[in-house]
Amino acid sequence: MKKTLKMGLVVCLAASLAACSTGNNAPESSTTTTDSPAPNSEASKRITISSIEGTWQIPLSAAGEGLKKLNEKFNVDYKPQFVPYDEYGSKLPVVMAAGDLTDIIGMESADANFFKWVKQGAFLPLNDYIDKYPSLKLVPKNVWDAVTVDGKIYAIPQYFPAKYSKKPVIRQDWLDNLNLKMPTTYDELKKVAIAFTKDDPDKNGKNDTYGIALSKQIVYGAHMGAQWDSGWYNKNEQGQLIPGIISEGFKEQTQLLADLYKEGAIHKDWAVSKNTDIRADFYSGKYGIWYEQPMGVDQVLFEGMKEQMPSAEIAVIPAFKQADGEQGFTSLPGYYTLTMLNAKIKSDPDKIDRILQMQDYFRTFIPVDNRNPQNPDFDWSNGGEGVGYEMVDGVMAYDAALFDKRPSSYFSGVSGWAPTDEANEPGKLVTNPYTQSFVNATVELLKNTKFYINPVDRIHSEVLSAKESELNLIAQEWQTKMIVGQEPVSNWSKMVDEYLKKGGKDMIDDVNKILDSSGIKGEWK
Amino acid sequence: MNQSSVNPPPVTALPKFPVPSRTKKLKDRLWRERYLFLLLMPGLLYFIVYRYIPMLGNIIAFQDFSPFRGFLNSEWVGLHHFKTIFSDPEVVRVLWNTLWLSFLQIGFAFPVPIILAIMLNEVKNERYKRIVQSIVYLPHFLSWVVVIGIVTIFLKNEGIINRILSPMLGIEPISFLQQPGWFMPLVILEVIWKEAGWGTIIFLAALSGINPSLYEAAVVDGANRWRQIWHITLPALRSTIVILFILRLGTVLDSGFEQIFLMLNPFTMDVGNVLDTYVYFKGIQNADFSFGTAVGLFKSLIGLILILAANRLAKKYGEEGVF
Amino acid sequence: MINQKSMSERLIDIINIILLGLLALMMLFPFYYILTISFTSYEEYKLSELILWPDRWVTDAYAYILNSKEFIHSIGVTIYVTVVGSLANIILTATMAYAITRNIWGQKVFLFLVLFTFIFNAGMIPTYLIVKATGLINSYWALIIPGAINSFNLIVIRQFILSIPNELNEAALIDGANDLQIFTRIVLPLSKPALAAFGLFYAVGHWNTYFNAILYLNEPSKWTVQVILRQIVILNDTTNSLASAARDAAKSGILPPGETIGMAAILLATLPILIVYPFLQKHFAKGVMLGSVKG
Repeated sequence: MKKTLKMGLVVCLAASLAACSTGNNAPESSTTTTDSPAPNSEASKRITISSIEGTWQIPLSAAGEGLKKLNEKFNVDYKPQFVPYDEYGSKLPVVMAAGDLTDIIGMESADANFFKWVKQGAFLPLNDYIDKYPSLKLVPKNVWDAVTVDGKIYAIPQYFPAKYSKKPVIRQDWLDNLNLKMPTTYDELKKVAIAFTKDDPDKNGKNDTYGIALSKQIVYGAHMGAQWDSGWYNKNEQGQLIPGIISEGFKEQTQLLADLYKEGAIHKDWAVSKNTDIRADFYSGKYGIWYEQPMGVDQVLFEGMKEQMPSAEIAVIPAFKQADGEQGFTSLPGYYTLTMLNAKIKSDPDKIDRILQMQDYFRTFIPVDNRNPQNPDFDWSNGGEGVGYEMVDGVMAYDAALFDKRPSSYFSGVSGWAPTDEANEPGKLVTNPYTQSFVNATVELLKNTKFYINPVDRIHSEVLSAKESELNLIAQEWQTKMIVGQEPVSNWSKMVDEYLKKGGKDMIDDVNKILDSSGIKGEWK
Repeated sequence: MNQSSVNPPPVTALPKFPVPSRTKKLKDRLWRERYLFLLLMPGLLYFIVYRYIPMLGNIIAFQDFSPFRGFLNSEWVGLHHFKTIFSDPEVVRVLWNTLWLSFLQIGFAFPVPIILAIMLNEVKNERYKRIVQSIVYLPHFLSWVVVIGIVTIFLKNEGIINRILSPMLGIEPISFLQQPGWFMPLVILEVIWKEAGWGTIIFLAALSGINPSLYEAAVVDGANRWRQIWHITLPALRSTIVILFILRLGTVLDSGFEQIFLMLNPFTMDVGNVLDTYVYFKGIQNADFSFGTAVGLFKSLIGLILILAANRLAKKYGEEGVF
Repeated sequence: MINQKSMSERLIDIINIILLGLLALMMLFPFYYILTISFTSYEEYKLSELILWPDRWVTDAYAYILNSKEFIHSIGVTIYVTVVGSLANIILTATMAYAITRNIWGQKVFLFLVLFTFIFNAGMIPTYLIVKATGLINSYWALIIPGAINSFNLIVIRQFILSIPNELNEAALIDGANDLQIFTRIVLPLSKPALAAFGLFYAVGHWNTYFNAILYLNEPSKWTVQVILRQIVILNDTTNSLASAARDAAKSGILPPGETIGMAAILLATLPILIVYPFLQKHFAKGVMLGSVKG
């Protein structure tokens, strides 16, 4: 046996291996038309479409029931490739550099690589196609801006609610226990956080709580509004917009964190603690302040918390009033992940059309109340009731085992483009009453909160792409040291100097120049 | 499996080698060595196809590589990327960290498997030896992510180590993971913990070849344990040690990216950022393959010089060397 | 006098045994920790920092993992790649090592070619291109062939073969054996311990294949266990707050993967190679012939 194997290998190597691969993905030659034609039935030709995108889930099998249905409906041979986001950043550049690019390409955001590849001509400009598809027309201008270079749109942004990012949340029951009011200024926040640490807010007789939760790399600090977070809101003496991370507002919140650390209201291990571990600790009652979002909350965590601490209540801390009278959070860019088409398929209008049809189908928003088996689109996208999903308490039940039976799973990066953030009605998507009350209260609060639209999300500055992440690391290193007292916060200007000197100044100049010439400004909505 | 059942393949199946020179001698020799060439061919082909042809791609170190222009048409920038390596003052510090770490690795982590192998070799109870062996191999199977995760849990301010130490010695908890001074020792200890046991395999295999009668003869001669180790065990290991050492020198600028990357935090960046992580931050994250390749070539060059020097030195002192 | 000597000899033995025992314990403890955590309920884990003995032993974490088709499937895939890959590795490495051990024409050049790759390597993109050009993309062979021979292993195996006494070769030559026969009848059997050891080295490498699987295989159904493991264990920590919001949204309703499941996954993924290992370990010890002349 060994001998045969060895000989086999020798032959294999000698023949340059071309024929020895087991799974060569030669395109299927069969062009049989299926009995269920695509919605727009001019599409009679079966088209092979390949894609590559990142994923946060365990990737689906290529032989799933859902994929078959998808292929039938759109008369395509769809070959999606899902790569864990952890490694997608390494795989995509290699595939790109090797010229091995698929028809559809997904990216997390319009980062430096995106613009680099746009410049190199990798992606297809989409301006001529957008008007044909109703769901694409829903995308607001400020979101298109983010993927537009020299007037050409190079990507389809995928929906993510602008308002529903992580917001600071507080243990309302702890406030009540200590007869404290919801903080509205940094001074009050400081007092509350210290009280949470020293006055036994959970009344268990043990000194086992901390005011505010912080994790390594300062993922979330104490951002109580646009003036204090990392968005481009504040201006320098020359009237230029500057990145939040070097602003006076940011200094104020860094000072707060440093004070709290000194008082023991921040865990000594924060700088080496993982975000997920801190989150788990918050839900087990260790911290008084953390970050949570109204959409996609983890019900299991909420339930677990309620079980352990029946009186626990969580509430979002409303944004603080700023010096300029404004009050509100910085909004998210309004999209998460981009879908691009390969420039090489320009000569194949049928393929472009088919891809956009599929996009359009999955981008069509289904109102929450219609998400039930009676709605044919909902039913089909999720694989059919009893096959791809079950309804429990009027909501589609979560079941990872059924994912590959749902056509929608193979377009998981694409979700319906909601007319407004509120239309997502996240409260109706959770079943547990405790979670529901938190979600509803949060949605209500955010509905009446103003949001600052960061103008930098809408423009493209090459200097920014090249420098920003590196500069942020520099600032972050300083700030980490400031928080633990290795460096006094009064050295803030030294940090700013280094930031500016290592390229920050060029970046600020460039960004402001582009903002001025394009007329884009930061605005409240 | 019966080895003798392997017959030589029929002569007609043999590859025909071009005979470029007029010397019949060479032709004869190649014919005589045909079976050796048959055995060599698959490996050689592998090296040429998968190792050498792609190596031509290293020219991008001298280019501003653009995938859409390809290897031949990308803009040539000469030694630009190499100049970048030396023009940045940060690189000096990073290089220093890298060398210092390698020095510590060779000084502390390299000898441990040898000592461990000798200790295991001295155990007379085969069962005990087998059990210990099996256990010390275990950590090798864990990935760095897991190892660092465990280390963090143990060494945190609230971790088990501090919980034991601080009341015992009456001191404040030690921030092992945040203090720059602890960075290198921890890295070395982790490497020892994870790889020392596994590293003994190669030495134990060499030791298994020692004829037991040698020890018996030594005992008869009245040699004590230390003398046996010194005169029998160590010499048996010598050539393996020398080879591993020479090869280790060739990788002096490699630091084990994953481990260091996971250990770094803002407090330890100054002492812990090494060439591998630096390239990652600068090059890979921004898909700047040209710069990454340039640093790779630079590392190779240094490795080459060291390996040649070490090999020459080894030969001078009567060792076999690697080549 | 003799008595005293054996006393100190015994003392050395005892100290040696105790030291090794302590070391073994040190190496074992984290495994014990992983084991206990994997059997601890998530609630209990969340509440306490360090659990040495859980109040209640639960198997939820294992049930969660073993329920996932992907995990089981990936174990099968990985076993296949590991077995076929290690065999290919060992065969290719041993044949080439042997050939350049002998005084073959061009020996120096071939040896140099090998050593050179020890130091100089190709970048990711050119390697990808050659894998693609040879038709291996999306095939398991892409995990096996591009790394078929590790130069370092080849050199050490060559060193082993060199230590085989030349008299044996000469005797065989006189008996009329050719190089191929010498290789299979003398060299291979005598190098068994080395081949077993390096077979295991290769096997561990295949078992831990991670990035190449992601790079070269396009279908998740072909991914190896480490890829799936990483998905289960790590993909919960991201420093990009938008990404973490989006990820939470994408996963909403999932049982919190939590540390306990991660620990169970680590154990399950490490188990097969731990089971195989003792069988190979036997071989290491058997190579008595090998250095018999050396000493």
